Amino acid sequence: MLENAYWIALIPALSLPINLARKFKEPIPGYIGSALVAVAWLWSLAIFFTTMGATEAYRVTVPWIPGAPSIYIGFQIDHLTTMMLLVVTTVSLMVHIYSIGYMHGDAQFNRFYAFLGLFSAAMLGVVLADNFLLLLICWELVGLTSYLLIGFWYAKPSAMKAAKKAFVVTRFGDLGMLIAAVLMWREFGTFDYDAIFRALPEASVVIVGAIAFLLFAGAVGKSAQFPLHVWLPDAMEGPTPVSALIHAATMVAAGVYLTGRAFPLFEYGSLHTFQWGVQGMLTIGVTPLGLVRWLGVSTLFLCATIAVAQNDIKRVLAYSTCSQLGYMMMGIGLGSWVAGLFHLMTHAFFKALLFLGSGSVIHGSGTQDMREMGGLARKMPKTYATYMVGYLALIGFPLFAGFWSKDAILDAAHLLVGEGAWLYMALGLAGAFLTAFYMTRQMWMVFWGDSHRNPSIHAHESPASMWAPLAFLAVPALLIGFVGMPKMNVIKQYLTVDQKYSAQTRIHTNTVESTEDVQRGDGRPLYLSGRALDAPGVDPAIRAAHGEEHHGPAYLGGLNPAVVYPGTAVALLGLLFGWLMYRSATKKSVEPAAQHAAALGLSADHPAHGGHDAEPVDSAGFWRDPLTVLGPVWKFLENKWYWDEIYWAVLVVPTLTLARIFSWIDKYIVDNVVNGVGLLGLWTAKFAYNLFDTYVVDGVVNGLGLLARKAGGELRRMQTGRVQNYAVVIFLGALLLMIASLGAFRLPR
Amino acid sequence: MSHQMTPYLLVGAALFCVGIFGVLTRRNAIGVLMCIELMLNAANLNLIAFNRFLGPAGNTLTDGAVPTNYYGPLLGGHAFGIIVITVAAAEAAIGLAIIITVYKNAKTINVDEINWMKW
Amino acid sequence: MPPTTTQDIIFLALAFVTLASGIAVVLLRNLVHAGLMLGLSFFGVAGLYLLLHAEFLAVAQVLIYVGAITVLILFAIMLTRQVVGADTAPVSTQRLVGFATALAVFLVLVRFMYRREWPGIFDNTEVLNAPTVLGRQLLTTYLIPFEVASILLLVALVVAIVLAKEETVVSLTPKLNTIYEETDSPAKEEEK
Repeated sequence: MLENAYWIALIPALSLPINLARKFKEPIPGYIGSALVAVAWLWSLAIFFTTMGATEAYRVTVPWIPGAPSIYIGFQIDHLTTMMLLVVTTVSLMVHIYSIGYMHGDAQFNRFYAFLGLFSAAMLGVVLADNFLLLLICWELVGLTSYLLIGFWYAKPSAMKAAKKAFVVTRFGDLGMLIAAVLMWREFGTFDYDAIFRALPEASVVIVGAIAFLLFAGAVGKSAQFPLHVWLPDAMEGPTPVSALIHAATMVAAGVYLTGRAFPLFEYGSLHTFQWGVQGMLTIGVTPLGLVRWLGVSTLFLCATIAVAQNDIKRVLAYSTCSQLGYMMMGIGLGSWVAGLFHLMTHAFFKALLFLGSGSVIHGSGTQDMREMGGLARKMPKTYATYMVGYLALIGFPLFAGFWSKDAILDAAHLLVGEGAWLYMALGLAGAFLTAFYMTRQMWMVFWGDSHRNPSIHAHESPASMWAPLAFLAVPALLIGFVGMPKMNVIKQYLTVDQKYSAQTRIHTNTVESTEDVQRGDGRPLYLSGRALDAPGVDPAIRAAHGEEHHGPAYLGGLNPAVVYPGTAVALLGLLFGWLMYRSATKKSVEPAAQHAAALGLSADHPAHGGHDAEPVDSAGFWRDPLTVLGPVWKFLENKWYWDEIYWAVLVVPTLTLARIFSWIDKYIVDNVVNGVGLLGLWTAKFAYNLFDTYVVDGVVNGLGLLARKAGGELRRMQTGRVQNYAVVIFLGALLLMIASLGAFRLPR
Repeated sequence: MSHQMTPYLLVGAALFCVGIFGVLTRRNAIGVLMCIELMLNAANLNLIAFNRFLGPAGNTLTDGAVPTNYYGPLLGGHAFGIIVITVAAAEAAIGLAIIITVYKNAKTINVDEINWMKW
Repeated sequence: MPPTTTQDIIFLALAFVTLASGIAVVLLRNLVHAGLMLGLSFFGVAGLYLLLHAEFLAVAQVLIYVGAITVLILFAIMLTRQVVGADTAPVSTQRLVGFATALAVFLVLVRFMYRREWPGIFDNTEVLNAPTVLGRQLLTTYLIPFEVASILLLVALVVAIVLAKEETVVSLTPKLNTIYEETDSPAKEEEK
């Protein structure tokens, strides 16, 4: 079973040819796709249970492109991969089942499932790959399917624009990854994780650091970190299941996975601080891990603030995803890749739950705009219940999944020492506050508050194919966090037991016999052995990663009080603020809202059953967000900190201008040159014909003819007709022959 | 000195050249024919002279001995001479026949006037 | 070398006769005179043959050349009655060219004559029964030229007769005649 594990990735891919070759009737592509992914899911479960106790990664590698050195491809099954497999297949399966109901009635049902299957296959390929090249290939494939799925309704211009934006923005990151691959080849001569990590001690720190930076560039693009975060909100143009699968749970997680997988590279590269900036004036010291956590915390804060001011239900969740990804990156950047990946796992489950729930809300209420919703708790009970679970998990309510994972990251932030280290903790807490705040706002606007719409609208619960996955996902959203309780950190043990090369393996030198060629007695990876982690230029995150772990009292699994108290307090504070503010805000203006709606002519029928999300309606007049008191700050947040406008002005406009300039050059200069050359040729030909051909060439030819005639005319006079003349010639000829053959003029001997 | 060959050859050459002059000069066709006969005679004279004085000269089959056949020394020159006379006679006959025919047709045998092959 | 022996004197005389009559043949305007001079020249050559011990050939020369060819020529002269033909002007381009050519050939021949040692000159003694020997050799060693010469005579005979006949169109085959008639007019064919 393990030997053929690569089929886990290939089986969902079969959905592509099957569903595109023949257009089956409506629910059948859904069944096919779900069945294929279910096979992958079951297989992943089987692998999980059978490799639970394994301490070594299982690898199969085959040579692919022969050469010196050759390029190999293969797959590996270690615990990190297994965890990712479970996450991806579970969420993918839920989305497949969910879409049977959500995409009901869509004319291109089969195409949807084809692409969905392809995406699942690509993502599983990313996770299963055992070398960076295969990872890159599947990475690109993931990007492609994301484009195809965002632009699924290709007739909608906004959807195509969003798809293009996603692809182009992530391309920036992918460029970095490509350069990283080249550098990797030059430095190590291989793409294998295993071989590279083993060769790290002899590698150049600077180059490894550069590789780490460039790989991270790809992660920034894929995981929508600042500054490449602009594509994720626009990607909500795609169908909601797509948003759930790709832009909440899996594809955006690929960046985090990559950073976690390549953590030894980051760690090793952070042994040297890269100085960046203007010489003598302002220099910034940057390490790969430093950049990771800095971008992570920036994204975290930035997106959380933007989410506060969004009115589209999916946009809120999108920015929330951005923000949570920032958390994950920050976690890895602080040295604790386990924390980051743990949060990835929990986030995948509850974010998918929230997205699918929002899809259910959209389907049931016919609109995407939260200002038009309200009071859906009673109308859509099952959706409400599951959404509640997801909400509590996201804000980090104690004991739910998000609580544990967020706490792990804050724990890592706490361990960081150095200049500005307090900032990470502070902003992490601020982010938690904001998360709780805007989620509570959303809950009030959607479920708890009174409805602002025309009350004659009928909001109904979604079909079973839609709420059943929600219920299924609610279980891990609730419970999965417990694997990360700090004192007996199951997830940590699980993930690190077979990672021979990365940090946080120290805990196992006492319990498990590590391979000697990798570990020394001090328990640090080989590439860190013998290095002074306190030396200047070394990233403090490394120190933190290999530092002592503080565990608090035994209650609640040994949480560090210095971390858990502020974290929980902040979350609860956010909840309280949001509750108070929006409880009253959503109570107001029910009647004027209805009148206003009627006056605007907001139609009662919603296209929910046609599968298209409703257009957000401009709600000027009947909804006033309490935060509008902030005035320009509110505007700033609502417009996403104007990043789209900045990029447009700085990047897009110059490119278009340049294109127009070159077009002008081509049209007026190049074309004229070409035409001029043509004219020159024409003139030369004319000249050649008139002068040269007519007089010279024809003259020669005619002259030859004339010569022949004249010569003939003169030579024929030889024929006199008189025999005696001929006789003369005969005799003279004979004479010459005599002379020649008999040598008459030779001297006598 | 004893009998020499050279005088005979000289006479032959002179007669031959007189014949050439006549062939190229005489107007009458029969006159031309007569001069041709002169040339033939000159050649014949040469042949006989060679046979008399050189005998087997040039005959590489023998090594200096006089070539003979069963009947005596080879008289090739004489034989050839007879042939030449025969040929001359035949040629004279035919030539004159032709001239007579031409005379019957063209009423003239002035070679300058028989120039129908002129350009 | 001055002539010393009788043979030499006789040779000179004969040579003179031959050449003089030859020149006369060339220069005389009267054709009959020229023909007679030709006969004289033949006689001279016959005499030279005798000096060269070619008796048979001398007699054959007289018989054929003088007896037949000269007569033939005289007959032809009489048949083509242009005895006093307008001959060439005293000096003409033709004469100059002819003279030059003849002179050139003579010079070349003479030069060649003195050019080398004639290989194997020897004094041939008299050949006894030369005619017999010649006759026999004509039919053994020189058979082929002999036969060729006879065929040549046959051909000449036929040609001469053919050429001298009347001018009527001779239909060699009846078919040729009908062909001519056919091509003439299709009407005549109908008559037949």
